[in-house]
Amino acid sequence: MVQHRDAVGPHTDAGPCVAQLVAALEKPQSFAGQSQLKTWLVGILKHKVIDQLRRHKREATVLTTDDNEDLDDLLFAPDGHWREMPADWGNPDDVLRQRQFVDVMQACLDHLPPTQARVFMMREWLELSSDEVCKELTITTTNLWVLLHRARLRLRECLQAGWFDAHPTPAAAR
Amino acid sequence: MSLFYRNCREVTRLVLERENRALTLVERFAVRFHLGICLMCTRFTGQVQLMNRAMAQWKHYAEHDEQDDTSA
Repeated sequence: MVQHRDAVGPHTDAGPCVAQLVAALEKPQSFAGQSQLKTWLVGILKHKVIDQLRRHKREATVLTTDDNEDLDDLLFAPDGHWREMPADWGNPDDVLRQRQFVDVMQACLDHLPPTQARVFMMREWLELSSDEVCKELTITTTNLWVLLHRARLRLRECLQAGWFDAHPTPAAAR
Repeated sequence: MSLFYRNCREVTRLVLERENRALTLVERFAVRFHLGICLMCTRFTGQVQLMNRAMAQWKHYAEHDEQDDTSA
C-alpha cells in the first residue's frame, strides 16, 4: 500500500481543531446565536495560533530585513521637526461609524511587512504581553518596540493614503 | 528645562511607545509639555488614538457578527 506521508505531514496538527469545529457545526443549536458561535470559534482559533507559535519558536525571527525604508526619516527633518503637518483626521466617532473604514484598516493590516505584521498581531489580536512576544520570537524588547513603532507608522501612512486623502474632514473641506 | 525638552521625532516615538510600556515620570512630563505647545504632535497623538479605537473595532468585526453593530 502506498503511503501518502506528504499529504498528512505537517497538516496533521489541524486534526483536533477540525474535530472541534465539526462538533460545533453539528450542534449549532447549542449556541444561543450565530454571534456566540463565531466568538467561540475565533477563541479556539486564537488558542491554536498561539499553540503553533510556541511550537515553532526555534525559527529565528529575521528582523527588519523586510523594511529597509526608514519612515522616521521620511516624516522628520534632521533637526527632529515634522517635514509636513500631520493631517486632521476629524472626529473619530464620525470616522469609526463607517463600515468601509474598517475594510481599509483590514487592507492596511494585510499590507504590513511580514515581521511587523506578526508582532503587531501578536500584541493586538492575540493580546500577548510584550514579554511573551519577545520570548516566542527570541527578540529583545528594544527590537520589539522598533517593530511596533514601524508597524504603527506604516498603518498611519496607509490609512492616510487609503482613507483620509479620499475622505477630507468637513472642517478641512470647507 | 532641557531635562524635559524633546523634539517632535522623540515625542512621536514616546507617544507610540506608551502603547507598549509605562513611560518614566520625566518622559511623561516631557510629552505633556511638548503636546501643550505643538499642534503637529497633538494631531499625531489624535491619529494614534483613532487608530487604537479602529483596532478595537476591527477586532470586534473580526470576531463577532456584524449585525451586532447596525444600531450604532
